[in-house]
Amino acid sequence: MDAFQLLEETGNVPPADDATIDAAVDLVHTAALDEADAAAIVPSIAERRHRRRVGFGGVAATAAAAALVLAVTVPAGHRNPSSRSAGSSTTPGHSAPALLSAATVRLIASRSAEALADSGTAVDTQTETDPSPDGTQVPFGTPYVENVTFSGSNVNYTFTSSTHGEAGVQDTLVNGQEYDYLRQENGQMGWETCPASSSNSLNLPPDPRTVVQAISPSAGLENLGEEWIDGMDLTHLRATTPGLITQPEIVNDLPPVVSLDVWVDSNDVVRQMIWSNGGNAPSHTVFITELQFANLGTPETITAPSGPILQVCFPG
Amino acid sequence: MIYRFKDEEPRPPQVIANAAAANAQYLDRATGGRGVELTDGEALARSLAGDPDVFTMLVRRHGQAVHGYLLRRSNRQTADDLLGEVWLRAFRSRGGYDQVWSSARPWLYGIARNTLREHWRVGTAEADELFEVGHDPWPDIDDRLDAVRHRSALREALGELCSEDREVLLLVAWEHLTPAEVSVSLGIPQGTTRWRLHRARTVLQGRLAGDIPVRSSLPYSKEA
Repeated sequence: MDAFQLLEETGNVPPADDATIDAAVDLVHTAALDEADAAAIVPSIAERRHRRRVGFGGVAATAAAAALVLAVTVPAGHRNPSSRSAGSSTTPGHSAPALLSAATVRLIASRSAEALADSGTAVDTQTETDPSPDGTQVPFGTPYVENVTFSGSNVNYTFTSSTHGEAGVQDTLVNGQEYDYLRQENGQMGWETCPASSSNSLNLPPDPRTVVQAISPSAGLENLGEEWIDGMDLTHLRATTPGLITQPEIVNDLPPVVSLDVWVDSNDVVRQMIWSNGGNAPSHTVFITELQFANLGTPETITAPSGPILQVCFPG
Repeated sequence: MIYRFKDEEPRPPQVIANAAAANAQYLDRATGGRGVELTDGEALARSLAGDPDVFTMLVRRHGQAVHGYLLRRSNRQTADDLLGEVWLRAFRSRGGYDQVWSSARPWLYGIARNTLREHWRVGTAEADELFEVGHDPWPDIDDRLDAVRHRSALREALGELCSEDREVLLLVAWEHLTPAEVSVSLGIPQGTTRWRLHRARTVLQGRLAGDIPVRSSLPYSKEA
């Protein structure tokens, strides 16, 4: 054995205990979570759960350092319970609402667009409310409900109920070809299509996935905290300047946006949005749209209809 | 593609943050958000972009190595106590990590070294009075060397090295770093590293001549 080998041999030491490594992991995790809190970056489900269960025991030095981190980033009394929404539970203990940075908002929009570009489902519920004599808003008719399945650029829409009698209607977009399943002149339901070569279309509803384009820094999104909705731990964001939202996907031909709430999951992907348009004179009608995404990444099969298809086109 | 800085390119914080965010977005697309193990640089980019989970992956990946570094230069209690502090410092200073480095380990060893030196410096005032030891951690290493064969010759030879030369030699012998990685860890030019390594080897060879054979060149686990 030469001197260098001897020197190498003296470097052989027993490994650290798992608890020692775990303590370092917990310490760094806590620091990372608090940095994310301070930056109003959306924390993940795993992190939030981790934070609830992680204590500051273990090595005395690491515990003291962790306490120092918390003291620096979260002043005492600065953590407030966040808002609540119907059908959800909110976890207190998050920082007071803070505006998300423009980079974070763009990151959410980008990640959402990427996740939604794959496959999944969406439920789009639209409700109109009108002012009652006592000044409160009351629903008008029954909600317009649109169930959407998407896979890449292919989209299928079915309408389960609506104020205007769209129940049973189905629209499908397959490989750029539009199909519309609706009641024909003979009273029977049947398929219509407009040739892809035509400059016209069937005027299918807008793809609900495009709505995430409205998630922009101009909305002034603030983080209201975590909420448990439909079995998911989501982060609730609310627009502080909804009037500045100008994206046509959300404004459409409706009055200006007066509120926008967004819920994102641990991957910063939008899972639910609720926004409202209107409420001002002269009609004071409020249009409330609720959009929920689910089954993201689950393969969906969307095929062109078979059988007789009537060729119809509308200008558009 | 992953954005990488050229060595001579200035890196204002916003540029680094933007690059980190762009890299994180790229990696999300490239990996589908999961399933592919990130390199150290990619993980640090994601961490800088606001992903609080990913840095703990680095702790799992390199925790034992960093602990080993500390243990080889101190003792079990000190290594256990300082491990968390090293990782906290690494997390806070991760903005200074250069994406061109293929492994975070040399960078982490540099942080561990500074943490250890600070630990010894703080302990010096009390320790000097009681035990007459200085801020150099060598006494603890010396104790451990007593347990191996040829201990006296090796101990004396290492003891004659200045602390800078000794650290270069031990980073190669104990942490199996290449001279290039030693340069990253110590923040010194590669030429300086190679010179210190040469000098350490010469001293070692001179002291141990006729006692323990010394190779004409030190083995490296990787090419520089």
